[in-house]
Amino acid sequence: MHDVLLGLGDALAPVTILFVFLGVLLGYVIGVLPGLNRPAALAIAIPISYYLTPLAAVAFLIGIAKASGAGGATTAILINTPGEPNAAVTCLDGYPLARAGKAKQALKVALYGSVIGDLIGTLALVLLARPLATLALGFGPVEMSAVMVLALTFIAALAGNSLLRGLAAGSFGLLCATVGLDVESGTPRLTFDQVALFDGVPLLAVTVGMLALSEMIIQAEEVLGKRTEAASAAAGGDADRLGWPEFRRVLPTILQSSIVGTAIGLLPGLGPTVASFASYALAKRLAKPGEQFGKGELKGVAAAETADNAVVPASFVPLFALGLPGSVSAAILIAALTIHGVTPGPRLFEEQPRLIYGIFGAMMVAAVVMLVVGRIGLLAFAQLTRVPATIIIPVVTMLCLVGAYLESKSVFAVGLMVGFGLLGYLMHRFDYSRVTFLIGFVIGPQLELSVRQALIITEGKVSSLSHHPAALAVLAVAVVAAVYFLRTPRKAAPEGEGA
Amino acid sequence: MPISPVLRSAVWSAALLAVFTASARAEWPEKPVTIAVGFAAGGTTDVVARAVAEVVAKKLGQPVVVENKAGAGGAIAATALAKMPADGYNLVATTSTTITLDPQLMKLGFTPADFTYVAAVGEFPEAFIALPKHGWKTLNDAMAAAKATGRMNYASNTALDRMISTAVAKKAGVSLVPVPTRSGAEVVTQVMGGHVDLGYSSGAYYPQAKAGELAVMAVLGDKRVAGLPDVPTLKELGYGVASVNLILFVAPKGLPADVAKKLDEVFAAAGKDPAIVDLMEKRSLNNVVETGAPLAKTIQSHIDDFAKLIESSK
Repeated sequence: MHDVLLGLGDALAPVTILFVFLGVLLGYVIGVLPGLNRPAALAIAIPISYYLTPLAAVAFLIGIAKASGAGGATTAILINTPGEPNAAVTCLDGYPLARAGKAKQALKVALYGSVIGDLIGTLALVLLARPLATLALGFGPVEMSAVMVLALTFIAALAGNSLLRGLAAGSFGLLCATVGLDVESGTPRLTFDQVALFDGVPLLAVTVGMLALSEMIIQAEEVLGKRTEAASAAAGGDADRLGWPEFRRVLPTILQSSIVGTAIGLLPGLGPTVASFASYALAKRLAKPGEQFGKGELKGVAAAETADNAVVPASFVPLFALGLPGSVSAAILIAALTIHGVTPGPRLFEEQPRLIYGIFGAMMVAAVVMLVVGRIGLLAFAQLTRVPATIIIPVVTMLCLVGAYLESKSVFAVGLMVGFGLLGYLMHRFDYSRVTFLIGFVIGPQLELSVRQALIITEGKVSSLSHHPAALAVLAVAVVAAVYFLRTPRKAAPEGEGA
Repeated sequence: MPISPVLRSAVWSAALLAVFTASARAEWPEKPVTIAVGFAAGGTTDVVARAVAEVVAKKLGQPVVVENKAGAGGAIAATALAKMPADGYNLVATTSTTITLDPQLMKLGFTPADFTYVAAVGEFPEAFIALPKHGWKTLNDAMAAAKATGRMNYASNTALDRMISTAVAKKAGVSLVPVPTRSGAEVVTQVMGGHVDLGYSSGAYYPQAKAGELAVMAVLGDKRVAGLPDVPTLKELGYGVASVNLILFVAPKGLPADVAKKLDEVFAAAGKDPAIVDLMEKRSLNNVVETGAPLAKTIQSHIDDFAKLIESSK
């Protein structure tokens, strides 16, 4: 108990709060700017964190990891351009809301959802780290394969106007995910002797090109075609307020999405993008009559934003409980800790209780700081809707180019990003969903890896599935979900990418 | 008097020549040196490279900029370096197998002959690991258990471990089936979750092993790992193979002699710096520091050993 109080005291020390604040600010800005995303922010931050105390360094990195997820919603809602890949789903309902003059309402739901999701994920980490980590360890390749099959059904759930074209786009995403070295043999596949493709098509180039750049092309076309109004409807007005009755209606979705996000965060290899897809698909499935997902439903924004923020603290569970990193952010935290002489491992709680509780405290502080920064930022960012497209388009395009270059410092990645931007534009024109493409692309590598691992471990015997009841249960859910999603009348489905 | 164009250009040329010769004579380094790390920020190679860069910068009196050019097991950074001028301003930090092994296995944009080997700082404590509940003390016990069914699987992470395991399996008369994974951390997770029998890990296992949650079956290097004095090497167990993976700093080939000499000095000194020694211990790296001609010899012997290993595992 003594250590708990000392740790919490450390978390509330001005210097810790300062670095949480700086981290949140940097994360938020990176999250807002399309083209620059979380890995880039963390990569910038690591060298800086080497010069801080362990707690300040971790607080700084946690601030970035958390806030970049929350900031990503801003441009998704306002200009239909996700600042982070996981905000792609936020566009589906966020942008229609902004068009209907409810930008602030959407932004507020996104912010509150993010903060609540984050808090619930953090509470799960603080209170249940050990049992949850043990549970997550039990999820081996066979169980993960089942989870990935379930994830595949999201393609059907988010297929857009045409199921067939949605599935085609999703399959194409899976195909693009096969580029790179074969995990088992190390043989290059579809790399055309480009070493830059050995690790697969860079995620950043694909997501930034598909989501941000192609959107800029679409908007440029609109501007050139006809003088559209500078932006959507003016912000403000009574319709744009978020009252208690509205929030109460959304709250169950936020809580449910927090649980989805936390569960997905526990499992290594899934990540925030899969979480927001899953949470959205579930919320849509549970929609009440009259709720029009894809046409400006607040619950859609809440589902996507809450889940992706709950993932971040949950992905730290294996790290703090067992010393194993479950995500890129967690791996980076390990580096920050080791450089300061703290070895994360199963004995971390016994060896460094004060530091651990300090980190937990800093995570709570980060949630509060995020709320404050987000609330103030929201007022400023809402003005974005007044910025004419003729300014937004060139600025975002430049950010896309810079972001693609920064990741690997290669012009090749920039070329790829532009290529996927053009492809995304063509897909939009011919009504092939960019979102289902992205789902296929994001889950492809883990799906392939898990299935191949499972085939080796079970020696390809179907009968050995009987030793994996959890996997069977998940597969059963997947079958039910697939049947349900495939039978959903198309007219109730989301409208492509909203625009 | 008007100056003729010929005279003017002659004066300019002379002036430029003077500037260039002066700069050529000035002592290296007169501007910041860049070290590109072949792996993502936060990994062992990155952490060591940054720490070494800091010490080297102090000794050179010039900033050393560290950037991450991650991908393809370090091959992206190495490919880019091979095309850069050999002026001592561009170095790459990567694992030694990026250069000693990978070009032998696939078509890459470089060969080992494209580089000057500046320094090796730290050796990875590669090992085979298992859950303690099996009761295996060394890899021999595990192989004896494998004999019962004829096969055993292990979480694999690199082409290197697949060759090592092939050699081990051949000697033991069993089949060792690699289960591919994407990272060292995933290997440890799969082993701890009991989903695979054994795991190959280049270092992520260490804290778990120290805590007694993982048993180390054998280490792969020529020498035992300092922090695990009771764990035998593969050679001691009679498997006749070894794998040594170092954190390696390389420059393009053909460095000017004085630059090479100075790099040799500062990196050798950095390797003895208390901060670096301490870091190697914390990251559970074996304290191996080599520079210059001895390093070049070591690298060549690694290349030859891997060539033999590839031949024997075919």
